[in-house]
Amino acid sequence: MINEEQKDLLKEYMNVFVGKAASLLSEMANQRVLLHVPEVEILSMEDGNDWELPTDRLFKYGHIVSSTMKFGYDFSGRALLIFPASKAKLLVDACLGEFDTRDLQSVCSDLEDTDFDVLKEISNVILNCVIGEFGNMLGVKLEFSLPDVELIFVSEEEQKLYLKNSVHIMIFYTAFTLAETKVDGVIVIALSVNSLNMLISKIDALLGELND
Amino acid sequence: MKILIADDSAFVRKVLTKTLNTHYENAQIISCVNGQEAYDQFVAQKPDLLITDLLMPVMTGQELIRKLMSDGYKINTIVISADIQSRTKEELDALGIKALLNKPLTSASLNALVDLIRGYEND
Repeated sequence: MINEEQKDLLKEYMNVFVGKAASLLSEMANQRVLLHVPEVEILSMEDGNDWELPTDRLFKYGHIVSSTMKFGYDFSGRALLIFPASKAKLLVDACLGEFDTRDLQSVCSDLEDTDFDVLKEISNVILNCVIGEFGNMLGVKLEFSLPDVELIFVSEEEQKLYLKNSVHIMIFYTAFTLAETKVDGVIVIALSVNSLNMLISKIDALLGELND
Repeated sequence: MKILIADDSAFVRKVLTKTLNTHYENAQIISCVNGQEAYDQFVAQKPDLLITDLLMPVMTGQELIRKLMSDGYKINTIVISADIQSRTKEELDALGIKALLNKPLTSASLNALVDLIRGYEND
């Protein structure tokens, strides 16, 4: 559906957008965020329920903290920020300036309501930044839902289904690690068919300018 | 002048090559897709200038710079990266790079790159 040239440029833009979000997260958590190379996967609608999702590379099964934000209208989809639940408290503590390296050795305590508020704010900032940059690139105004933060247990089987629960066909994902707290996170952006077409038109225009 | 470009994005390599060819007709441009390939090419070609991304598969830009420095090479490095964290900038300052330009590449950042290279030529 997209060629290597288009995929390359989409990944490059994702890299730039996540780089900006990582800078914000770095400021919030007061530590460096190590980025991983982003990936773009196109899922074929024709395959129905047999979409091959790289869920094993996205997050490990078990307890996760998942923040979901929907966005629309012209450019619409779903953005997710996922952390392992066992590390979410470390992230919260880092953002509150209460992180101590000794915490790495201890068993993480349960998340409290105030922790979810912090995680919601982190998600709001990070996902708004990444999605907002897509909007800027396309020159469209986006409407966002508030992030919905959930503590979920995902079994090995459910892990494969977790991201299939939508009609979206294009997925960007990128992983990152907070240097001191060793918190691994994943940003996933799933786009609708129309949004994908809009994005590809823009990418083609950019590639066309280069080849002129 | 020999300029070595290291970036995993074909688009970025193409933009940089086109820009440099436009402004420096006699420049020899060497393009690499990751830090390891750039290291091998640097050792073989001894370029005057290294323009590198940071986040690349196989070997990152930081690893490339450190490896060349530990081998004793004197390198003029311009980093072009989407990583805008202040801590990353501090790390690059410590590595002694000449300049850091942030992605995305715009006409302004490409003009800045051309000016930077012109500055090195005149030194």
